[in-house]
Amino acid sequence: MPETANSYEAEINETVRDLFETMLATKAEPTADPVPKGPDTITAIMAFVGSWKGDLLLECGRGQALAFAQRFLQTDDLDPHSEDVTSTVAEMSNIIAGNLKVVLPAGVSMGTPSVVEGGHYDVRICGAKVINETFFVTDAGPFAIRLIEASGQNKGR
Amino acid sequence: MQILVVDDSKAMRMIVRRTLRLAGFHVEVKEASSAGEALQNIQSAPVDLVLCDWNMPEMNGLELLQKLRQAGQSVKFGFVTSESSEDMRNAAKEAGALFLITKPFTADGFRSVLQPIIGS
Repeated sequence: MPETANSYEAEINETVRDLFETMLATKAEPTADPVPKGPDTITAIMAFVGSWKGDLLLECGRGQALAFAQRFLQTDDLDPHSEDVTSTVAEMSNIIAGNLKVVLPAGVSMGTPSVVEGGHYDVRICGAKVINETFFVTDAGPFAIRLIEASGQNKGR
Repeated sequence: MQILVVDDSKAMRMIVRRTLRLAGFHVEVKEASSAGEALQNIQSAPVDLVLCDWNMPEMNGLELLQKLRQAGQSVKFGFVTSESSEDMRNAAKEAGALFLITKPFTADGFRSVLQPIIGS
């Protein structure tokens, strides 16, 4: 794995661990087991633009998203289809992407998060490649973080 | 003491509100879901402190702070953001921000940063 990809993975792992321990009061551990995509999958997408272009994706099932929101917002009284749930997953992706930005090349800007619901899609960026894919397991279930680089556009790294 | 929490994320506004309470601050908390809404709110009903996200659509937190200062508003202002590069910290300080709290955060972190500003 290239050195930059290693540093990205280390930053993602550290941020995910801190995020879950401090704001969800639980643990998230990396796992080798892939997270299957299904009809109830929720994907939060954070775009990077500027000197480095790409996306960070957080993918989990609706059940996991609901459990994350219940812990994040400290309430059990949530509708699985509510804005509170999607807003939580979006904010989690925002936090991970914001911390990752520190190790990305200077001159990168972040967009605001988008959320896609359902598993019958693929996120495709022309000429892009997944440069890091990490799966995590929590007591609420698994989730995946993918970092996609829009290759051919990132020069001078 | 009135605090305005500015964040386009509903979840994060709820978290900041809760974290202030967990940190022991018994303050009145108002919310704005955009920088534009915050600007209007502050101009019509001033608050004592603004806790603002950085990365928001249309107008970001730094632009909000700059607009407030250009309008002669000296309200105390700090950022609560997932990004915290040295460049951002310098830009925030130069624009007049008192602090920059990085997400993820804890109630203890809030307390140590805000205690000197809010008091007990």
